Amino acid sequence: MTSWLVERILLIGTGKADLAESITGDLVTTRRRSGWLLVAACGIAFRYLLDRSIRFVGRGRPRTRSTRRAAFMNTLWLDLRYALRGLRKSPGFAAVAIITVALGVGANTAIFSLVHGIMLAPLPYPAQSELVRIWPGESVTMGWALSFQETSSFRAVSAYTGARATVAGLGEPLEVYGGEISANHFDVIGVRPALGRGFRPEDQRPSAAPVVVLSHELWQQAFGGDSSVVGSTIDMAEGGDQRPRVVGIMPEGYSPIDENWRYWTPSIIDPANDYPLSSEGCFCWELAGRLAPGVSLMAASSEIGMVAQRIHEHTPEDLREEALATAVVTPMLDDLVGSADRSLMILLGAVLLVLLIACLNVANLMLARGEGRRRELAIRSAMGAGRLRMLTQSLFESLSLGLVGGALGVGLAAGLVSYFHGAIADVLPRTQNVAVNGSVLVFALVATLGASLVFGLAPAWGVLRTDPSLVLAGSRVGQTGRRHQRVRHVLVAVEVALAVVLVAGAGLMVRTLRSLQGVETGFRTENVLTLLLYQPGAAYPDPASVDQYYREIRQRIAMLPGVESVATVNHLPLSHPGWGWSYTIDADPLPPGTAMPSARFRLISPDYFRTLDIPLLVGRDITEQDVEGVEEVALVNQSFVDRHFDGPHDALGETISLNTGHAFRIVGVVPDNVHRSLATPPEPEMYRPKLFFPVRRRYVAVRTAGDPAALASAVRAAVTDIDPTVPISNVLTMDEVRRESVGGSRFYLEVLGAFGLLALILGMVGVYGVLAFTVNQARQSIGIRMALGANSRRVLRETVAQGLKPVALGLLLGTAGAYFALQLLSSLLFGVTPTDLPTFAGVVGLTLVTAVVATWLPARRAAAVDPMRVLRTE
Amino acid sequence: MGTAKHLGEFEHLLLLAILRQGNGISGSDVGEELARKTGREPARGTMYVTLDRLERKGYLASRMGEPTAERGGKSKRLYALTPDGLAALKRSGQALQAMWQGYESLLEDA
Repeated sequence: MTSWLVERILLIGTGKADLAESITGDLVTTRRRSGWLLVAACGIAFRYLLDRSIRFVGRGRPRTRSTRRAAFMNTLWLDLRYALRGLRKSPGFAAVAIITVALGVGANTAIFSLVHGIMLAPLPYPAQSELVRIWPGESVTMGWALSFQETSSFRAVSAYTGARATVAGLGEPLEVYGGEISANHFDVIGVRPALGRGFRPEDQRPSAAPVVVLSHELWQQAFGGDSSVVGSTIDMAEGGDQRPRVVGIMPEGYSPIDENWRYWTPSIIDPANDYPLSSEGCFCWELAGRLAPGVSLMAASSEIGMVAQRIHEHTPEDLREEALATAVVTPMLDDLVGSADRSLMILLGAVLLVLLIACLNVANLMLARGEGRRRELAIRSAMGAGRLRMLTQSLFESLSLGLVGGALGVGLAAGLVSYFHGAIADVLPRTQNVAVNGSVLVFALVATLGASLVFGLAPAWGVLRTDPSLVLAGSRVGQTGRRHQRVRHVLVAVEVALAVVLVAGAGLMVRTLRSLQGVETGFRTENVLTLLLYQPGAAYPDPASVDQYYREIRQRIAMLPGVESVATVNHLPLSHPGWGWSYTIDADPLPPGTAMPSARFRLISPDYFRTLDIPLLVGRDITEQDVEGVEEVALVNQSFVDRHFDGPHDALGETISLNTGHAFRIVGVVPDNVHRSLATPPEPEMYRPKLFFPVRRRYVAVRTAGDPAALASAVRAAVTDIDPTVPISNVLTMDEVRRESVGGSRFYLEVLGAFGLLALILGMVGVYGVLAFTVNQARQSIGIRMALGANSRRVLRETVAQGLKPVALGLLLGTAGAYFALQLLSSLLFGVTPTDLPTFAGVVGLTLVTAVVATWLPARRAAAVDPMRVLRTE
Repeated sequence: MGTAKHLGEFEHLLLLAILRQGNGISGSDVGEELARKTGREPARGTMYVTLDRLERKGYLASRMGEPTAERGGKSKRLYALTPDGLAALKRSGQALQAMWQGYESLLEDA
């Protein structure tokens, strides 16, 4: 494609097909990138055109199409050189304009790189539009997954679920995330392993030897990229398997479902456990599929709905009604992007406003410059220069400023994208695709050309409206000047209005972050150190051995100096969405036909509530006897009590029965505390000391007397001492956990805040520029007024007031605009409405204060006019 | 044909590079030869335009070679000196030599 384009460009320049072909071949052999080839081709073509124009112009040759083209090119070349000469004579103006454009284009390019990488970049798999998620948001049993495979809408369906393992390679043991997948999963995605093979159906039999496929990254990190690892067994503990054989290595960068997955194992299909459609099978499989040729999403969704209905008819208690209603098929890309698209569109809209402000600023600068060149334009017009020619030169000036500013802006965008990679990895999906690539550069070019056109219109309009005869007759300001001034004031008012919208948006994000930070968590985050442990399965095969390990951990850490209490929990608050379980209460039976309620669930050790400083409302805490003993107990929170009982005391002694059949007695009630995130209100929750299956992955929370970070290495050493094969990760203080939990809001605040600040600065530069120019033009009248008795303070006041007029108009427009436009921010806000009055009041105040500062300098200059000198000059 | 008496500096270097390589050299090879000998890489646009100009003056003749896979299936244009080109090169070389007479030691010091 590039080669074809290069040859076409060269054909235009050289006019000879064989020459164009030959030069194309020369360029292709250099093996350079497409961008370089195109630029080189443009350079060579332009050189040819220049040469031809020099040869043909002025020699009286017949005006054939090629001579006309050559003459046109020569004229353009002269106009470009004239424009560049003009800019060189005004370096200050050029620098300010270029920097303004660079900021606008750079910010836009950076945000577009996010939009493109996350939302638009196709998945790097063959025929990616056929790749779909079946029933997103729901998990099914393996029996159901196999039912979905027998549909005509899909060429193939695969099931997968997340897993974790510890891998011992060259260095310390690593805790890694991975996928348990059906044998055909890689075929469904459409990618083969780079080394070795994928999985076969026989790998899924219960009697098959354990096998694993590693990601390129894990292969490099744990095994140094040694290809002899394929075919050999490795130390990898996941559940019960400890030494699977590596059968394949995936290509570099492969990560279709979850970016964090580093290995894949085949799902073992055990007919006894997983099917027929039994509710005892694990509800943990998600489905991906490839649509059959010609099948639409709607048709596939309809067929999925019918399969789900069939399952419901067999085992009605397995399927909630709402799950039946949501049997849909969605493109895999949409599923991976999730809800990020809404936030990104908000950012893109905001940054386009910044570009518009930048364009208006430069337009104002160019209009002011045009005022100073009116005489020059009038003379040129009188000497025969056509308006079209002057318009072309004016547009070349705009284009030159725009292209240089745009190029600088791309450099700025590259820097911003590097910053984004660090800031957004945990906030947005598919961030590995975010880069300043070809498509983003095309956007930058379009933005640059568009901006050049927008701010080029202003001086172009000036050229068209200039009446040479009036100018040459000596009219100073005249009607044209006053009209220009009105236009410039309107431009400034619009800039200020747009800046107000952006600053108000930033203000709302500040309030959101403050609200999130002010949320009462229900526990104390100060002086708590946390870490995550994940035991390998083979060494700890049953719940008793797992509990014993974590007991030892707690006892060992509790003996360290400076430790006040230690506890473990499977899901640390603010770290995990948590498990939800359906249940019934014996004392509050369900009416017939009602679905079982669901509550959040946490597995805790004794001292959990003490460590996080959560008080007991009634009853007692978990004890060691509860962990080791036979009796099954639990604590619940206030929301749970509110759902089923009149008060906390009524809950004590009541029995909860899970949908698995296990039952336990309520022995205590605690207040609500935050579970998933600061923005999610607390939900009904149960706390239990043990489960019927081993839970090897747990957080350890340590309350310290002093700085928790200071004890980190001692705690690590204590853990490693007990069992060095257990990897330690996520060593953070609880304060850091809380801070990271609002990382998303902080990112949006930083970006919108930066845009708001930039918009305000640009807007105030506009205010300053217009007033400075007005003062300069009005020196004579100011001098006369002061000579007639006006004192400098009055002049100062009046000048500031004049400068604030467009600001006042802008504030009015901006406040009204923000009132409606900021409704779009609703999904990002917390604890504040889009029309929050204190925020708007603050924005108005800030704008007025900065506007007064911006008008101060020119006002002072006006007040310092020496009337005698002005009159002498006149 | 052959209107100019003496060659410009760049024209001179190009013709010498083509003479050195014998018959049939492509534009990019000329550029590489110049870069190797003079330590200066010529601007591609200027080089191709000058080759074209020399051909128009009758000092070079060109023909299209066979397309190759390495060149993306494109043929290459091969240049060779014409008798007029050789004569022009000789004239310019002799003129330069005449002007350098007595100052050859300067070249050695360089």
